[in-house]
Amino acid sequence: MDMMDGLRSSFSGLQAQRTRMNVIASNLANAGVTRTPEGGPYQRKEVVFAAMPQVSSFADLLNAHAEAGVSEVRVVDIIRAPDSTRLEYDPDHPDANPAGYVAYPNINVLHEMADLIMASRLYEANITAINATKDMAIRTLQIGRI
Amino acid sequence: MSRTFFPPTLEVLQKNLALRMARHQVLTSNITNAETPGYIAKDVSFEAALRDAAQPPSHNTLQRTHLRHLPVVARSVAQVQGVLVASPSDNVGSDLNTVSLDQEMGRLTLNAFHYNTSIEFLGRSLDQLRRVISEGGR
Repeated sequence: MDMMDGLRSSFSGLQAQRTRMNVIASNLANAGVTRTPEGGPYQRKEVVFAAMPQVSSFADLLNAHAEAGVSEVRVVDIIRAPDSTRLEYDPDHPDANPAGYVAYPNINVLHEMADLIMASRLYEANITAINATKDMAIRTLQIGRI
Repeated sequence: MSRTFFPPTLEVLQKNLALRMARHQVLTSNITNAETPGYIAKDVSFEAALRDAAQPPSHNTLQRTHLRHLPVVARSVAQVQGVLVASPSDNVGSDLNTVSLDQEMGRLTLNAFHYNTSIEFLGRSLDQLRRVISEGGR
């Protein structure tokens, strides 16, 4: 276990939170979209995080169970949230069904904004951890320097 | 490390640095996985063990009277190892993640502070030795 494990873990956190922010941005931007290439309204997307043991060699893979102290985070999937359309009555809309209802993406802007703030805070937390690691590393290099 | 020249403090500081660095990695991993479902926050426990090992043997404890006797208290500083434990947390959400971000940030900061303090002490101890070596001949 060396200093770089922690840094690698923090970097994976940055990447995961950035992916999450991109997905949230996409949800917000498409909140009113009723037409997509797949047909139907845009569907709200969610990221799925999973902890990965640090594996940089085959030996690590073998020892992964022995010392599972440090793990990275990965976005393993981006899923379409279930129940992701809501119907709104708007008979003049070109995409309205015969009854006059339009299917819109079921995106709650408050929910997305709260999620965005959480992602951004976690991003900052990872940056803080990286800075702490960097600071410790630099001080270690300076032991005994005159 | 020979006790004749190097002060025993150096060994304790060295061990402390290694264990604090290991703990730092684990705390960093907790922060990274603050929102991973099912992730259990971990910590490295060693402070009490290191404190006990670093204490000079008191007269109340058993003493070895022969070199070939089994060591009684036997915890030398070099033998202290960090133990990976699940860190106490009151923050278990519906996703079974036990990381409490503020607690982890606090632990990380405090741990880094202790690490940097040890570095400072180590530097000064080495400085003393250097002084002893170079100033003696003048």
